[in-house]
Amino acid sequence: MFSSPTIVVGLEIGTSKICAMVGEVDKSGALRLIGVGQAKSRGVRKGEIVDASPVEEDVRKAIADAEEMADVEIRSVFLGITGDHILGSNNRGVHTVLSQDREIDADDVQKVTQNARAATLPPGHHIIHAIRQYFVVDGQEGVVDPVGFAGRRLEVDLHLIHGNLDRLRNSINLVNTLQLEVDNIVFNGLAANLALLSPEEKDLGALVIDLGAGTTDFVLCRQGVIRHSGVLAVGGDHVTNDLAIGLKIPLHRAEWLKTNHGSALADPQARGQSIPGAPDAVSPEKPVNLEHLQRIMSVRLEEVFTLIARELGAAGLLDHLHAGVFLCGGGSRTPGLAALAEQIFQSPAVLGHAHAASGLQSTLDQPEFAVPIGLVKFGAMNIKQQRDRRRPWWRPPWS
Amino acid sequence: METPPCPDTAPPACADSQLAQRTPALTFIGLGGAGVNIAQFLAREALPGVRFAAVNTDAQSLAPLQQIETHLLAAEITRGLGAGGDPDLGRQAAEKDAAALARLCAGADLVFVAAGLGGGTGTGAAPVLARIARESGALVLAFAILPFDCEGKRRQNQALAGLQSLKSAADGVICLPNQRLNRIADEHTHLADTFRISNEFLAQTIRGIWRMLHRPGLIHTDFSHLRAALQGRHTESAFATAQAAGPNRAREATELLLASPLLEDPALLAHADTALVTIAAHNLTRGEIDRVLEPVNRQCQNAHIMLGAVLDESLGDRIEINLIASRREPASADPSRLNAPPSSPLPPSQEHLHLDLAGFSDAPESRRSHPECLPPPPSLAPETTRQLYHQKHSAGSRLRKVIPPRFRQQQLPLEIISKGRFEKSDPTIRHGEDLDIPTFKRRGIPLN
Repeated sequence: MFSSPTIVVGLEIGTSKICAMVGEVDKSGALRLIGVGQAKSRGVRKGEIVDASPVEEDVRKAIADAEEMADVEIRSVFLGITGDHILGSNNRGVHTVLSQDREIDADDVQKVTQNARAATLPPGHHIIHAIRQYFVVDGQEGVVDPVGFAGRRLEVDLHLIHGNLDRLRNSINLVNTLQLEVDNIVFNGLAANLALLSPEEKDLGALVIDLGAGTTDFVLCRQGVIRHSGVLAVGGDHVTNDLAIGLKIPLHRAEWLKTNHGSALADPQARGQSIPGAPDAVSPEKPVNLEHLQRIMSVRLEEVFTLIARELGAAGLLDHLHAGVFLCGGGSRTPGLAALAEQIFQSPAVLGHAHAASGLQSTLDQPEFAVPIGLVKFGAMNIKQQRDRRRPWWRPPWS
Repeated sequence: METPPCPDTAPPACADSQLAQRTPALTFIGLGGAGVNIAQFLAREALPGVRFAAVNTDAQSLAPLQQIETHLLAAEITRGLGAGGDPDLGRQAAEKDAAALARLCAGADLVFVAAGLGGGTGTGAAPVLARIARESGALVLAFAILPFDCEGKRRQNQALAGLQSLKSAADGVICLPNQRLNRIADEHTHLADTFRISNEFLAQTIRGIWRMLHRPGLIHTDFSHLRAALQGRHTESAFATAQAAGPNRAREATELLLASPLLEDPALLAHADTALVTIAAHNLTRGEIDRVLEPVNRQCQNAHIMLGAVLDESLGDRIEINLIASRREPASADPSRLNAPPSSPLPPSQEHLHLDLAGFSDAPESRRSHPECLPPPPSLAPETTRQLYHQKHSAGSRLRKVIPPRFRQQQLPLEIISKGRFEKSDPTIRHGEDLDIPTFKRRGIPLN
């Protein structure tokens, strides 16, 4: 039935860049990345579209590049979404097994899942992902698949990731106007999580932090399931903005200084050092104090991590990061960021590497590509599930 | 530095004949930049029997003062260049110079300590000075001038932390938040005039107390009354004064008094448990006393009101009313506490009258051990010790959840801070902070 390989495309409309990633799923379900297209993003702030027309243009360019490189025609995409409005929460659903023999069947599982989805969400919120954690059968925790178990009371814990439907629609509508279909929307943090973590790391307890330009998305896995997710609408743009304000320099120079001389830790040796302005600049540039540059950056990044750590601490999850912290996104290139994360989360921190996808490996092994790769992986998993089930399992909420 | 003592400041150990005529010796010490200005301002007033002194870490501000005593605080620490807004430095300087400060307070019955809080010298040294003055046996009344809101949350927090430790060190603290002056001085008022109003308030207060203690009274209020109104409270006191003339002078003055910006918060009077009202005039009638006391009684429902009536010819046909209201903290309700020796190091008050001090733990002042140069803590009865320990312990557990002020991050509402490229976007608010504002600005990290 699926003789030809299926094309899966992930599209991330980011604050600094728009990236389309093309993958190919063969008969066995293995994923191979075959093309990527990128465009500089204009009109996106804090992960959300604020000006549609330049974004349309940029998406078109990224898609066209990807089509050319992969030599395919793109009809539908898995769209990555983020933004301040996206929230994660855990909810437990309860269902009483009514059958005579008290054996739990697939119907009961479906019902309990439905009950767990019926959480009280903020008004206008739509569930993007309902990720199953564990079943509880008559108080017995940690059941992975309860079908066939005997029990009276079936419970399930779901991790719900939900966002404001109107704001989600903005991105979807924009993609639709470009004659592209949206297969599914995927939370960027979840995509990064899929791209970076191995099952073992998920089991041990790992935190993925995607430091984007507009937002910082984070997802915590433990015992193989997602326990916490969230978005902090602070990213690399804020660092640049802080530098521009603090050092009284234009944004483009702040951006250049951030990428070339930035550090997440204030280095005591930077005291008294300064970075000369570019000699070939049209207008002469003042030298910039390196110590101030690093201090401004370090307090901002420290604050971002501290806010995340505080949120995780409140959820009681901070002590379970045995695999450590995995960083990705453009911001993770900042020197010293892993050391800062180690200080704050008190666990090992590394720059994450996307694995479990073949093709274009070396070019794509960069922290910026974690989310697009994750989107393609999500798509591939989706298609695999569809093949397995042979029935439509998901209907877009906006159709 | 030492001036010859005036007759009023004679030490208490005198002959009986002298003691009979003795009026209480008042010493006014202005501490820090604001305090020095106030001392200078007040020294021009004709207040015989008040000894003025100015203490600062900044030699420059003391240099032009000719007519009053000056003392440069611990020049070896700050080199006479000021404390630079660091209360720790101010405190260290005062502790180092404890002996000199004790000399300034020697022989005084009532020591006024005036300091602007929020900076280095005033915030850090005022609690130390108040403690030294108390240990020398004087009643200490502190005037704390709080910064304007626009001076930033950090300074405000520093000031409030200083106020808390000042409250634990002084017998009474009268607070003058500069922000309240906004009600009197509009934005077009000259800055010098604004501070003059602030100084004038203090001058009136001092004058009122001086008049109460030095002028003959029909209904006599003396030092003992003031002592009763203030001592052992360790809390904020409120003071207001008003003058009026004309046929309806009593009513007008009372209205002015109760409308005083220092009594802005009605809860202040409603919860006061001691109010000392002194009415001064040349020709006072009984009806006038009624007209003054009736509204005051209505406002201070729970207060024990002490009345004083003073004859002062210098007022002409004007009437002057002074009101000192203070509130007992709940802990001091037990009698043993009130009978405690005046120098007992009582735990800092967690009470607040009209300032939200939630979030401030024990001031550093009360936490640190006494330096070597100060006398050892007084010996206490075992029962008192146990009670104090118990109070301190329960207060500590109540405050443990609260984040100490140093780590408290807050928005600075009145300071205009550029958000740069995020000016027009939806603000990202977490824990009450606008994260679009650069972190270093919110934390007040200096870039110099």
